[in-house]
Amino acid sequence: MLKKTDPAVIQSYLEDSSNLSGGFADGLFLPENEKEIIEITKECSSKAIPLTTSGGTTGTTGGCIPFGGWILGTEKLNKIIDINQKSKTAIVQPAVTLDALDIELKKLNLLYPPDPTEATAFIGGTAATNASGSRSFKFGATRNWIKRIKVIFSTGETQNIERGKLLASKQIHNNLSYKTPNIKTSAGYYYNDNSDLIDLFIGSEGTLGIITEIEVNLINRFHDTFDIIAFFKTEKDAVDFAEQIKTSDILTLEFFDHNSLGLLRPAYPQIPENSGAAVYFEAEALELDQLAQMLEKHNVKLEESWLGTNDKQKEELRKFRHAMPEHINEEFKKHNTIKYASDIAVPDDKFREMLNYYNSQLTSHNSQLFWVKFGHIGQNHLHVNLVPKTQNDIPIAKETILKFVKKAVSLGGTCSAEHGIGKIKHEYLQEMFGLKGISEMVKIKKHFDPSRILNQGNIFPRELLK
Amino acid sequence: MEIAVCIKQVPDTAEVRINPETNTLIREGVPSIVNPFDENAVEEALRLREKHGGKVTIITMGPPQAIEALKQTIAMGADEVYLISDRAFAGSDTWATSYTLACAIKKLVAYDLILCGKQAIDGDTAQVGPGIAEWLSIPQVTFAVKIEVDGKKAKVERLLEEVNEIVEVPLPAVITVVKQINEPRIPSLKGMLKAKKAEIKTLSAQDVDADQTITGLKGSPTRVVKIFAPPVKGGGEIIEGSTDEVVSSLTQKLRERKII
Repeated sequence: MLKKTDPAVIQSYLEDSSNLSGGFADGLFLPENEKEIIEITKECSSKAIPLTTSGGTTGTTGGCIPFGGWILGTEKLNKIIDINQKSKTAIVQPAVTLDALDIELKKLNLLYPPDPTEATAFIGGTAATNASGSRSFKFGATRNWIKRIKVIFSTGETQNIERGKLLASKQIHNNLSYKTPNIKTSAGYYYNDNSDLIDLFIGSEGTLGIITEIEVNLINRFHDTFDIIAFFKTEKDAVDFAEQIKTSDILTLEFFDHNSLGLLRPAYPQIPENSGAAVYFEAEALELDQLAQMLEKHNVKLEESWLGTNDKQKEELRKFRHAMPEHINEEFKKHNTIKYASDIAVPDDKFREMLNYYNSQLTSHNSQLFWVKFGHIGQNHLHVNLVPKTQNDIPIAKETILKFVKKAVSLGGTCSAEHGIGKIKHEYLQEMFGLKGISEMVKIKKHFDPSRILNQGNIFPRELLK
Repeated sequence: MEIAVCIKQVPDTAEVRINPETNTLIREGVPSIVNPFDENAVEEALRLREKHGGKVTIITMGPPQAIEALKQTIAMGADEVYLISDRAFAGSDTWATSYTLACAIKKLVAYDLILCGKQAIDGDTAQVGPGIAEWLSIPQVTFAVKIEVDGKKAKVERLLEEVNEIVEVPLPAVITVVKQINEPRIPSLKGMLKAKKAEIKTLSAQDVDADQTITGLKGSPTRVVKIFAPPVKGGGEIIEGSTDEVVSSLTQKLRERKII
């Protein structure tokens, strides 16, 4: 089996998109098959060596970054085992990237709908974090598309977990009181009275077992879609429009606030002046005339709305959408600060209240904090990013996000709709589930990982594992 | 300022398949787009119109489905579009095509400037733009990366392999553009609604006063003898090992092949 202890090699496993620093590890395993993974887990369990599974390192919460012990790099397990055109399913190993699967599916006119922005993400990683993308407005998060996973536990045992076969509550035997809210969420172990065991593992951030095989559902590719970016005079116009278009047949629905457009304007000088907000959506089978009327009703100038109908134009518009996180990450880098960003979603009927709260808090403090609000308005899920420009702004940024989380929780929302908890959002998860909820999650962890070696520090602090 | 832009509808992919018997492109199942360089020409015409006023007229010669390509240019903001379509045009080479387009331009536009893409991505001949200039007996400037119009003349920067060349040309003239000249705009919703409703004027050989002995296969002095895909290059060889091993292995291989 391939083992590496060269610090230069290990270094590349100590970073993801979270800017979390300080990670370290004694060595790296690069297993090539399940047999080797079983050996590794048995060895680490018997010696109580922490083992952190690492995929494409595209996460945003430090989930793959080890703080001691060994790393298990899944990258050699990168085979597409089977694509079944008849049943519209695919079986892949965890290190197959979204891109690599899509290249094969394209040839067969099939599609795996989840579209987390980073196409180099490993499918194993997207399962471990229940990743979402802009199309999760229509298709839901990754968990909706996973039919079966094969898991190796820290004991070395292997289990095939198939959707529809086992309830999570039947496996755990403890009475758990916490419940995962019924909204877009990726915060802590997914659990409620009737939840499937497979859903407990999807989004468990590598803490319960190592996923070695994933069977996913596929659909036929669709061709006749079009993309629109519409610019609104005011944020209210944009939000009103988003609420109305939500009930139509659309695939994505994204929002950009005034500051977001300001940040993008140097790269996109064609953004109309005096735009208060913008909405990007991808639609199927929508009548353009009706749509135009709807937009005009919300004070949009049709000559200032961008429309993509062919692949090249749609790609241009998608680039505009993807430019947003890239530009804001550049801002964080420029001001030499870690990322202060919310990942909050709330129930449909609470979105406006949440939005008003964001605005009142963001304008109430007296600082040079720069902020943008953008993201998945279709699922009541905006990313509010706060860039501290001075040392004095840092505590304000931290405190503001914590306030957002508290407000969201009071509205029945989630502290993390898609990015997960990883090693940087423990405090928020505790706001959401309380100490009792967290201690129940620790029980789940200990049940499936009795030696407590897997991905320590993800979801809750490792001290709780003692 | 009256600007005519000639465009071509082409298959949207580099993986074009060829019918080995007829040596022609298999178009079924391949989506069609406006030739990318022609999109740059349309964009440049629209920008010149925004600056100097006037009108942009788009002309294409092709089968009826080329209407879709014309609609795309309406969505971008073109004022008028014409499809020149006639069975008599079938099998046209670049000689016959440039003649036919020249006839249409003469008939339809009081042109100050004619813009084309530098070439079409399917045929890659780069001959039709210059051909139009010859048929109309006006000057031509190819590979333009920058165009400044000043009254009755234009200053054009040409993108050449080693250097850029700036030339001045009296108008009217034909200018062909490279993709570096601009970034074609994304159509607006308003433009697309207009395009959807637009009725596209289709003109025949007779309508544009084309002499039918110079059009189509009959009027084409060139014949395509064979089209084939070039043989695929073999994969490279990766030499692994320590630096010393790699260097000695590489130099030995290069010597064997008499490269060094």
